[in-house]
Amino acid sequence: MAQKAKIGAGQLFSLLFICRMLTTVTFSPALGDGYLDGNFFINILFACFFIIFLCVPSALFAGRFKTEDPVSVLEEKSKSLSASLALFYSFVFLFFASVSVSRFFIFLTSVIFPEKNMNILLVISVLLCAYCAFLGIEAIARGNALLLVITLTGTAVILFFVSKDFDIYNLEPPFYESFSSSLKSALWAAGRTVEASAFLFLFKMTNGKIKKGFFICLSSFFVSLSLLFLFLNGVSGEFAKTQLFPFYSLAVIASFPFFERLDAVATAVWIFSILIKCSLFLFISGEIISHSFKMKRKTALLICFAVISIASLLFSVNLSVHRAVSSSLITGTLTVLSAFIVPSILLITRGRRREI
Amino acid sequence: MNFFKSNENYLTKQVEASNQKSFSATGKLSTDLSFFESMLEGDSDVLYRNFTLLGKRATLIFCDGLCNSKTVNEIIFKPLIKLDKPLFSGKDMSRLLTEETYSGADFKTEENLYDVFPLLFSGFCILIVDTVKTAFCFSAQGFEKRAVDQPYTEVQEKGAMESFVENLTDNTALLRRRLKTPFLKIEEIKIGSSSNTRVCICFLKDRVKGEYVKRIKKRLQSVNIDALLSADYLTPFLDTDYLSFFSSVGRTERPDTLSSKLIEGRVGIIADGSPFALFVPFLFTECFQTLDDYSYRPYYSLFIRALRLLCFFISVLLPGLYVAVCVFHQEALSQALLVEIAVQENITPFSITVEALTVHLMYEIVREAGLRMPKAVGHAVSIVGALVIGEAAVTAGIIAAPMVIIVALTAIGSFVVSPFYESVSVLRLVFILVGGTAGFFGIMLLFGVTVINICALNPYNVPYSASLLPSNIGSFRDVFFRKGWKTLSGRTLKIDRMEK
Repeated sequence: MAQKAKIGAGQLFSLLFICRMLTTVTFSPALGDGYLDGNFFINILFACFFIIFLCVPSALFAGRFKTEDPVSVLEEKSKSLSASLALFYSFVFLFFASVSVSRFFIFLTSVIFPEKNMNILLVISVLLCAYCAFLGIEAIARGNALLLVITLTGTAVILFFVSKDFDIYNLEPPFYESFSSSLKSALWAAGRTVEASAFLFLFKMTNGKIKKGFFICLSSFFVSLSLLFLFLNGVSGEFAKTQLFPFYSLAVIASFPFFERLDAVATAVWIFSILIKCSLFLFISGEIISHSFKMKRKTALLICFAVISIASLLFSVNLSVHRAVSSSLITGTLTVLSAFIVPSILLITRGRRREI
Repeated sequence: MNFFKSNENYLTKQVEASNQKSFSATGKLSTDLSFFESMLEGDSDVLYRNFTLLGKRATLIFCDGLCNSKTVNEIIFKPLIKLDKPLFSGKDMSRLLTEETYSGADFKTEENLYDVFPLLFSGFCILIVDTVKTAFCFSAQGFEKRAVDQPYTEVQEKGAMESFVENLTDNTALLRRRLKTPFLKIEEIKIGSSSNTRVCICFLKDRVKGEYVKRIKKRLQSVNIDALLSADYLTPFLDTDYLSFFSSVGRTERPDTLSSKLIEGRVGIIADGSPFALFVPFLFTECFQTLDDYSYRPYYSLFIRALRLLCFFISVLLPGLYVAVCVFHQEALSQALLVEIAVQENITPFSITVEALTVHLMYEIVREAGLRMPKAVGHAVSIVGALVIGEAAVTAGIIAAPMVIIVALTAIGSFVVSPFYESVSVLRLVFILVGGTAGFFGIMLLFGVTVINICALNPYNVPYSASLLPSNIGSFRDVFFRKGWKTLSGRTLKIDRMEK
C-alpha cells in the first residue's frame, strides 16, 4: 500500500500503548477476564516477556519487509491468498474493535444509563470513529498525543485521590495464588495484545527509532499496569473481584472537595481510549480492504463502520454473549494467529531478502 | 416608441462599452474623448478640462473628490499650460512631461484606455492629447481618509497604538517602518471585476519558501468576485479546509502583529479599503498568544497563557458540562452545591438544556445588538441586558441564577480568546445539545472528535496544531510558557521548519 502519511515512532507506540491500556483498565472479572490476581506484579512481569516473544515475528517482519505489510507481501505470490489474508486481518481488527465498543456499551447500559436504549448512541459513536479514521493516521496520532496526556492525567488523579483508602493489608504475598495461576494470567494478558498485529500494518508509515520506541512502550506498559493493579488491590482487595468493572469502581471511591466521586474522570478516560482504539483499527481495516479490493477509502470505511456497529450491537446484547465472544480462547487464538503465526509463515516462505 | 428606442440604444451602448476590456488610444482626441464620455456617461463627479498643449488640443480628466485640487492646479495643470517646448512625438511628450514638467512622484502611461479607469478612480489625473496614442496619468490623490488610529479590536497593554487603516499605501508604509529590510516584498495584484481592488501580498523573501507565495498568489488570482470590499472576503479562498470549524487564516488590525508573523515566515495579505490584514497559515496555538506576552516577564506570560487556555475550555465546555451534570450526573456534585442548584433550577419552567440554549441565544442577540446599534442608544442595551435579562428574568423564575453565572463566565471567557469567537459560539451550542442528550459521555466523545479534527488540518502543509501536536521539547519554548528573549532571540519560530 502506498502511504504518504507518516507518523513518528513515539506517536506509533503511544497509540499502541493507549489501545493496550484500554484493554487493561476495562477488564471485568465478572466476564471471565483472568487478570485480577494477588500476584499482579509477577503476572505483569511474565506478561511482558510473553509479549516480547509474541512480537518477535512482527519485529523480524518489519526488519525484512521495510515498506510492506503481510497482505502486500502475499499479493506477489497469490492474489486470492492475499485477499483471504486481507479479510482475515480486517476481521481480527474489526472483531477486537467491536469487543471494546460493546464492552463500553455494556458499561453504559449497566452503570451510567441503566434504563435507556443506547443502540443509536452506539451507532453514532462508531460513525464518529469512522470519521476520525477517514481523517487519517496523522490526525489520529496527533490527537492521541493530547488524549494520552488527558488519559494519563485522569488516571493519575483517580489514583491520587483514592490513595487515602490504600491499605497494605489488602495486598497478598507473592505466589499466594500459585505459580500456574500467574502463568495463566500472564498468558491471558499477552493473548489480548492484538496491538502486535496492528504494528505489522503501521510500521511502514512510521519514521524514527522503532526499537527504542518499542522498549519504552513496553516499560511504560509494565510501570502503569503495576501501579494500576497496586492501587486496585491495595484499595479494593477481594472486593474488586466482585465488581463488573473494578477500575470504574475505584474511581467511584475516589473523592475530593466539590466532587464526591471521580467516575466521570474514569468515563472520560474510557471514552478517549475507545475513540482512539476504534478509529485506529477502523483505519487499518479500511486501508487493508481499500487496497486489497481496489475500493475507495470512504466505501471501505463505511463497510467497516457497518460491520463494527452490527457486531457491537450483537456482542452487547447481554453479558453471556459478550463473555463468550471475548473469551481467552477466541481472543488469544486470533492474536496468536495474526501476530505470531502468519508473520512467521510469511518470513519462512517469502523471507528471501529483496534485491532492489 | 422613440423613448424606448433611445433607451434601447443607450442600453446597447452601455453593454457594449462595459463588455470592452480593451480600447487602444487612437491618437484622435475626439475619438478617445468619446470613449471616456460613453463609459462615464452621466457621471457628474468626473470633470473634463479642455486646453491647448503645445499647439495640440488636450483634455485633463479627473474625479472630483478623489484629487487634491491644489495638486491638480499647481503641480499638473499650471506647468502644462506654461509649456512651450517643441514636440515631435508621443515619446517626446512623455519625456517632456516626466522630466521637465511634472514634479510629482507617481506617473504612469497607458495605451489601453480601459486600464486608465482604476487609476482615474484612485485619484489620478488623466491627460489625453491629440495625435498622441498614449494616456498620461498623474498622481494627485487628495481624497479624505482616516488617520492612523489606535486599534479597536486588538488592544495591547504594552504595544504600539497604531492600527491599519483603509488606505493601502498607508498600511504598507506602516509595515515598512517596522521591517526596514530589502527582503520585505510587497507584491500587488488586483481583485474584483468591478472594484479592481488593490491587494498586496507581503512576505520576507529570506524567510518564506517561494512555493508558499506561489500557491497563495495562485489562489488569490483565481478569486472571481465582483467587488472586494473587505479583506475577509478572501478568507474562504485562502483557507485550505473551509468546512472546518477552525480557520487557518488569521487576521489582525495591528502592523506590529503582522510584522511578527512575517518574521516567522508567513505571508500577509492587505487589501485596499480594509483595515484588517490577513496572514497564512494561522495556527491553533496562536490564539493563546499576544504581543504583550513578549513584554511581560516569562512567569507572568506562563500564567496569562494558561489563563487563556482555561478560558477557551470554559467558553466551549462549561455550559455543556453544566447541563450534562445537572441532567445525568448529579452524583458528581457535592451535596451542598447540588441542593443549591436544584432549588434554583426547580422553579424555572424550562428544562436545563432549553434554558441554556435560550440564555445563550439571548446573549448572542444582545451582543449583536450592541455591535450594530447607534452609540446614542448604547446605554439602553446595557439596561435591557443587565436589568431585564439578568435581574428580572431571574427574579421572575424564568431562568435560574446559576445559569446566568455560567453564561456570564462563558461570555467573558470567549472574549479572552477572541480569534476563535465564531468557532466557540457555535461549538458551545453543539456541546449544550450533546450534553443535554448524551451527558458527559457525549461531550467527551465530541471533544475527542473535535481534537482529532483540529489535528487533521494541514494548511499549506503545516500542521494546524503545530508547536503543540506533533510536539517536541524545543517547540514548547513559546507555546504555554515563553522562554526569555536571550533564548528566543537566537531561535525564532520558523514556519517552514514545521512543515510535514
